[in-house]
Amino acid sequence: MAVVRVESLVKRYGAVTALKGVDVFIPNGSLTAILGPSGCGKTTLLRCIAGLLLPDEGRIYIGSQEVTRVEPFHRNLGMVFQRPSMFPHMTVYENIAWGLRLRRWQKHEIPRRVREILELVRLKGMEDRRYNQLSGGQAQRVVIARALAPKPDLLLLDEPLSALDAKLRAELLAEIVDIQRETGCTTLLVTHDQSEALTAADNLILMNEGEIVQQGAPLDIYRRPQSVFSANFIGTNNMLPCTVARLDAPGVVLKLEDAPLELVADLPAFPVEIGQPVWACVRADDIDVIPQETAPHYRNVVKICVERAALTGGFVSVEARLEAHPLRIHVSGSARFALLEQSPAFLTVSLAHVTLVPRD
Amino acid sequence: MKLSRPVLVTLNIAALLLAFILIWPVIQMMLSSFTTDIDFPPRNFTLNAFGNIVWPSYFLAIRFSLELGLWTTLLLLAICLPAAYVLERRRFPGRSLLSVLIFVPTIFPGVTYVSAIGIYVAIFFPYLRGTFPIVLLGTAMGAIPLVVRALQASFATTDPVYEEAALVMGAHPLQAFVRVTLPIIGPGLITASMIAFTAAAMSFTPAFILGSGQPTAAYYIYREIGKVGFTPSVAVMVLIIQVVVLGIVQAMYFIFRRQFRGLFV
Repeated sequence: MAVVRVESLVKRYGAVTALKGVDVFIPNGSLTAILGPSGCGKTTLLRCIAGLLLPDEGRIYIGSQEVTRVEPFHRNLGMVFQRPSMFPHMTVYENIAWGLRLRRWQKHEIPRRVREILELVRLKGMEDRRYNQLSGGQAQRVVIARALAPKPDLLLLDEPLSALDAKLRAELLAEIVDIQRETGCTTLLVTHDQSEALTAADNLILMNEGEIVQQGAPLDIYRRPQSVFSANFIGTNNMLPCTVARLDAPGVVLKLEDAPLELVADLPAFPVEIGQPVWACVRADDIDVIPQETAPHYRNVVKICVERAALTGGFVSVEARLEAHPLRIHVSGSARFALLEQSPAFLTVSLAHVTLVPRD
Repeated sequence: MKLSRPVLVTLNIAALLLAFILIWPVIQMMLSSFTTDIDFPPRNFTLNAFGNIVWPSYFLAIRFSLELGLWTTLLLLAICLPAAYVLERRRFPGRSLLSVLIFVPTIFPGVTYVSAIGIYVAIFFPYLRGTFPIVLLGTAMGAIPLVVRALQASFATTDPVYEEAALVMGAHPLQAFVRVTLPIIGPGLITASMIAFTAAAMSFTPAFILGSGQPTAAYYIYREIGKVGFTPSVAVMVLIIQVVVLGIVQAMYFIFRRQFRGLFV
């Protein structure tokens, strides 16, 4: 277990700069997720930390030791890959035991440790199986066990679930979270799947185009995005162009552009002044349909014009207009079916949670 | 693509005919081994032809062929494994040049390439002329393209993720290669060894041009044909070397197939 620090890391591939001076802090014992679209540099960052790639500039510390130029086999790490990496010529037992021998474990301790770790990943009794006798999920659990068995300082998970089908993915993710809590091993999970990151992580790093966009608790990033990218990448966000009308303790009053409408938002993390253009972000899930007569009890009550409503599983997705601006709403709860049966022309909604993001 | 029935029948017949043309000399040779003269249909079945061979000198030739096969296989694996590995897994200056140059021996007919080696040896290493290492080298160089190609295909179809996993687990690169990559490419390695061994044990030109008189089996048979023409005893000699070499290759396959259980499909 260890703290991981990355300082102004730069990695170039020819003319392409994959990491543009990245700073990361991974707290001891945390499950940190690096989330970003494909090509954002998240895997490059992970491979630099693993020692499989040499960065061009910057430093990496694991614990108190600088490891920037240390070979991967001299870093005490565990790693799980996206593609199947259980050694097909070894049994489950041999896969795990070999890793322990490489880390110079005492001979008599190895069988006990293998049993222990197999129990943890729920593969007890499968010691003698080979890769072709296991399912995809089981093989991936072997790799997780193999990575954790030598008690590494840091566990690296490089999209460990994306080769599995959806149901198995959710199951194994829950297991990874349990295992991480049980072992307390500092874990770094790279993923492009926002729900995976939000579900599993207690610390979230959002990356885009080789830079860290935002880092913090998942709920915080979800509720208070600090940039257009953060707001758009996670969940479905409505971006309403506004200007700051006045500062009204404890929040900000905004004027919607091209409309005689005022919205109230919490005070943002960045300084605002009157007349400044901003984006008002409202999540599709943070808009509540309300009965008109109860309007005084709600914040930011507006009337919207419904254009389309469609069932997308657990919720109904409504496309509407707030004055001239498009607005998407996710309506859940049993009331959603009424929307499908007779689509009303207008709805009264409350924009329950409005966040500000800078706009230039 | 859907083919009409007449076309399918024609293709079928053509394939059978080709297979027959390819296999017929082998069958004829086997039949002729047990007769008094080369003829079809075979008459007068007898084992006389076996008695007409100078066994001690032919055994010597077979032994030389097998020795050459063994040493060539080892030498080729030592050269071609690293070559195929770097060509497939590493990017370095001169890589494309090397991958082209490795195929030079295939462009020249065997005799010309081996003669070129002979001239080179005569100029630079005259004291090595006719020695076993030179015959070995000549045999190995001709088979390099085949073996590199076979191994390269194995590396190409093996995910580098296994090696990376081994490195992060704490294995040195050499350890990762020996304990992980090598076993995983095992089937390809055996195929490459079989190609190398067969090519060397059946070889004629290097011993003929670079050697100092000790013939390989093929060279021995060539000399016999020169002396007595095509006789049943020549057919017997061909039959024996075929059985020995193919037998060894088959045995290798069966032994190693157990080793790589789970990797052979």
